[in-house]
Amino acid sequence: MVDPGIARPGNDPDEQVLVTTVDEFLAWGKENSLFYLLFATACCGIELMQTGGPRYDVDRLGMIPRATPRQADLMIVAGTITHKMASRVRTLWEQMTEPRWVVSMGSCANSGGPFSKWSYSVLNGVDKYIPVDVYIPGCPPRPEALIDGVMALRERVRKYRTLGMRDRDPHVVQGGDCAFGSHPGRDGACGPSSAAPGALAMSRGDESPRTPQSGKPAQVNGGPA
Amino acid sequence: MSTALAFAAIAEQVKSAHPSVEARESDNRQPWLLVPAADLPAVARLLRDAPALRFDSLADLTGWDLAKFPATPPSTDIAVAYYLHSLAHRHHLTLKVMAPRDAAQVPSVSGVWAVANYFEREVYDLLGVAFTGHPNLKRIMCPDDWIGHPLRKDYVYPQAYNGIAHLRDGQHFEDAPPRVGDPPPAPAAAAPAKPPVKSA
Ligand code: SF4
Repeated sequence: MVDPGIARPGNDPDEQVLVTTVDEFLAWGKENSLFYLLFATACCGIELMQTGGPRYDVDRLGMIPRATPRQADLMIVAGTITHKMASRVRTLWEQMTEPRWVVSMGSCANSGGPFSKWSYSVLNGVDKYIPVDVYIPGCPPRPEALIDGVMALRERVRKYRTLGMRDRDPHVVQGGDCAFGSHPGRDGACGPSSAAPGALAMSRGDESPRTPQSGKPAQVNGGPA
Repeated sequence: MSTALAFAAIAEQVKSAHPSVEARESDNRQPWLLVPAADLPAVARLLRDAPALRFDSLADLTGWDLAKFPATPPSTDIAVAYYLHSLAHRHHLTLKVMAPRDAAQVPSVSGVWAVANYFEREVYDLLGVAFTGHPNLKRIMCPDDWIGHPLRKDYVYPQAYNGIAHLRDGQHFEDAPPRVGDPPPAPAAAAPAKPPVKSA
């Protein structure tokens, strides 16, 4: 006689077992636990704090602020970066464990913003020092825009492959070479790559086949400001 | 009973001890004391220690470049200003020291008011005033290897720092709108095409 417990709805092996690849599984985990570095240098930081507050609550996306770069996956560069600060930003970025992602939040971090032309001290965009994945325009961007940028970043994280098929490198410097030469993870062309064989979609509603990625950083709301 | 003194009474006390100090008034009728640089340490100690004065708080210490500044009389000095407040008597005072721009040297008051340490480093960093006797006179805002003092009116803007250009393509600093005191622009015929980037 069949154990009545096994016949309960939801207890069928078909409903309990998920078949996937290790890489897909790791990417899924990374995407949903983007711990970000508690780091802000200017007024955009206020919007970043607001985004972490109860009204916008990025905790629900698995984004927990970390006070040390060694535990952080994501650096949100929120605010004006001066030439003096830039080397510190670079140090923090180097202390983050790989894979690491960078969101440039606001006009200052994108391009120097209101200070880009007449200031002797402000860096003309943080991408001169560290590779940036997503640029969010605005002065400051509203929390909605930041969350939009995070969603664009999650697309990139989902495509990151830890074990194999590294052809879709998420660390691509846009707008010129990195000032410090090539950096880890930047191995090869940024152009379209062949679709990774075996990179099957996970069974969580997203059944469309993966398409080759262009290798360009994601842009939201029209790209760098 | 209030023990606060008016400016005239404070100036009277200081001038009786240090005749070289002058009482002045700015265009908007704010009174201040002009102190010769050599007398500054003694004047500062008097202001802090005299029982009727007791300026125990240096609220601010700042400076500016008088060149191209609509000052009367015109000057090219670097002004250093000290804003003093007495928590004991509730009165306040402004001191100014004029330093010649080519040999800008002012005695440090960081031994009188300890807070002057950082203020003087800032004025040194941005205006190039050397505070003699300062315990640790080095840059505080700009990177240590910065060249020049950016708030001087004749500061030459750098083209790059650490290999990173200051301007993006197509920008140049000469586009700045004219400021008060700038010479009138040259006639257009005399100025042909502008070079894209000014050589340093
Ligand atoms: S982009 Fe605007 S709001 Fe953000 S740090 Fe710069 S000036 Fe402040």
